[in-house]
Amino acid sequence: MNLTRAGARLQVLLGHLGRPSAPTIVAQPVSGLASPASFQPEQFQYTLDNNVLTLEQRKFYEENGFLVIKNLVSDDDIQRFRAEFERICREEVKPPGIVIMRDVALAKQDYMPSDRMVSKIQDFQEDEELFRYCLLPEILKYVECFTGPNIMALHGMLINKPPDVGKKTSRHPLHQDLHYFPFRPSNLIVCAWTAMEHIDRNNGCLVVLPGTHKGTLKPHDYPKWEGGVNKMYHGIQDYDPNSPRVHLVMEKGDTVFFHPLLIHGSGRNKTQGFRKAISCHFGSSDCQCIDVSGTSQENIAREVVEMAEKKYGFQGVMDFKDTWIFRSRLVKGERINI
Amino acid sequence: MSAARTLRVPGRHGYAAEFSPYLPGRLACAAAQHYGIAGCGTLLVLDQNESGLQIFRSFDWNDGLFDVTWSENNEHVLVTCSGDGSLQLWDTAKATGPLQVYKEHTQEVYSVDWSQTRGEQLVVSGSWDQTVKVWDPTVGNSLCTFRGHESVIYSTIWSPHIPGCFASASGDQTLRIWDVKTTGVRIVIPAHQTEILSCDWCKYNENLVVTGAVDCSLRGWDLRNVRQPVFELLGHTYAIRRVKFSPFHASVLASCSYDFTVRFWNFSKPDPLLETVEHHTEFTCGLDLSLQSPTQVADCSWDETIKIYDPVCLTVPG
Repeated sequence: MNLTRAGARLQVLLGHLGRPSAPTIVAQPVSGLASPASFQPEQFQYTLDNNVLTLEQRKFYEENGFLVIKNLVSDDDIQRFRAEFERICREEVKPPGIVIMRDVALAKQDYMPSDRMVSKIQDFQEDEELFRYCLLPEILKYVECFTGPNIMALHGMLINKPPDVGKKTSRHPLHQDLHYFPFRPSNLIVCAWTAMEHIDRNNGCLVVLPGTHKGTLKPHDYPKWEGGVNKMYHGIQDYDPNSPRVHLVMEKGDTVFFHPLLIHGSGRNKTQGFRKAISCHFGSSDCQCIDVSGTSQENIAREVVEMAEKKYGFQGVMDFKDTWIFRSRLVKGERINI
Repeated sequence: MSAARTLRVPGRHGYAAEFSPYLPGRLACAAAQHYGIAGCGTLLVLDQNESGLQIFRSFDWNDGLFDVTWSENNEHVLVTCSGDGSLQLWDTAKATGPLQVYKEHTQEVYSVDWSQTRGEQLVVSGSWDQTVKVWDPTVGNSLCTFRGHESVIYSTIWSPHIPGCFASASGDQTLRIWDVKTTGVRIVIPAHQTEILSCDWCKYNENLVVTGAVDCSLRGWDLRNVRQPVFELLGHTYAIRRVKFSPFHASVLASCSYDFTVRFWNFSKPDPLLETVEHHTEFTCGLDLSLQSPTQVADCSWDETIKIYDPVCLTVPG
């Protein structure tokens, strides 16, 4: 017998142990006409049975809506992503479909191609090097705990938060990522967000409101911030400013997985350097696309469609869900719906 | 419970135990070295006598043995299945074996069962390669292969009532009912939201099947209406590895688990847990109820022991 079979058997057996003890009550027999409420209530809602997360990690995510895994992505990979980012900024590499965004304050200055001008790269699914982030097995094994075995990469981003020029435009207002997505159910979607350097409150770390993933999607729009706010940086219209929040100080390679309804944002970059992170939203290919007409997502849908029509030249043909399906890529398992 | 008759088999971890349908007091046990993760396997054929459990015959195989089933037309013949994807036919009347090896599955075979309906002599096997195969033991190749499960298969059991009908339980969280004559699945039941490791048919109701799963629950399914279970039994604290309905009492069943216990249940009682037997110190994987004695039970465990005993709940009419 070979060692790979031994490893496979051990993995199967460990999978059998991955479930916490059931309560030691003894249930009454139920008749065939009993309602589903007679079932044992589900203990877990936001994570799937798996043999990757410890029970404590699983409970933490269920309760808080996020989970930080230390030192998940290697320095070598991060260096490669940095190098590719710089090549894209210098326009040495021009992947089709990529979206390059500039800070609203810096964009008013003279144009010159440089990584100092770029605040964000999105939709890098056609860039082989950056898309490698979405295929890293160490990322996908955690993603599978939230999405199940059939995994789509929905939206990749590399964030290059510029030093704030005094107008505070480097802030990202508190928001829920589900605002941007027509995919449901939300519990089968997760964001993986990896620090590409040390990130803390000085250079603008993620700030999360723990437990807010249990709530609903709130209306979003541009906040009325003096000095302006970057394009598509919508924020929640009404939220309790006194909600407890957690600032996620992260080292290079640390990765946070978080639920698309988790309220989060990021603060100003008060340093002179740029702050980089790379992220991807993953969803199960079992997810469905919904029509967002008449919902609070209609405003972002309009902006996304306008941008896509401008970029791809489809005039009046595209709708919000098409813009997302067009960019999604299967990264593991089988493509089913989206 | 009277003292269990115990046999210790050093270096072998018990995976399955089956009473002979012919010879009172004869028991077969499929076991594996190194907890079945690697190493070889052994089929042990035991006899009970006044001094306890004795080894009548022992056969070795070069990979772990995970299940065993007795022939229904020859008191000396058994079939085992193993980690290398093969099934083996043994004859206890011969000192060495096997008589035949059936090699078609491409991964571990975790389940083997000989049909009890006696209208035909068929064996069904379930494998981690996600297929079920049906065999005529006198023929070297499988008669039929059944596909549809989307994960490893842990258990395949013939209906004791309907010829050619069997149930399968899988890591894809479904219980499926198949008909050999149609080659297709007849019923798919998403019975649990976790892997299902075992299933068994009620001996007195041809429509009732029980499943035991990683979520520590047993669920009873009426195949005429599978929208929800007709009973659910809770109490185990780890995955349920095997479940068997009693041959003598319509609503009595037994289950064994990674929680080291064997539990006895009567699903028609307001308090269905009859007894918890805690005489093992490792995962308990093999379990069978005797056809000759209404009270006798055999089990085996990764603690290297095989036990035969009479639980109190079966000796005292409940």
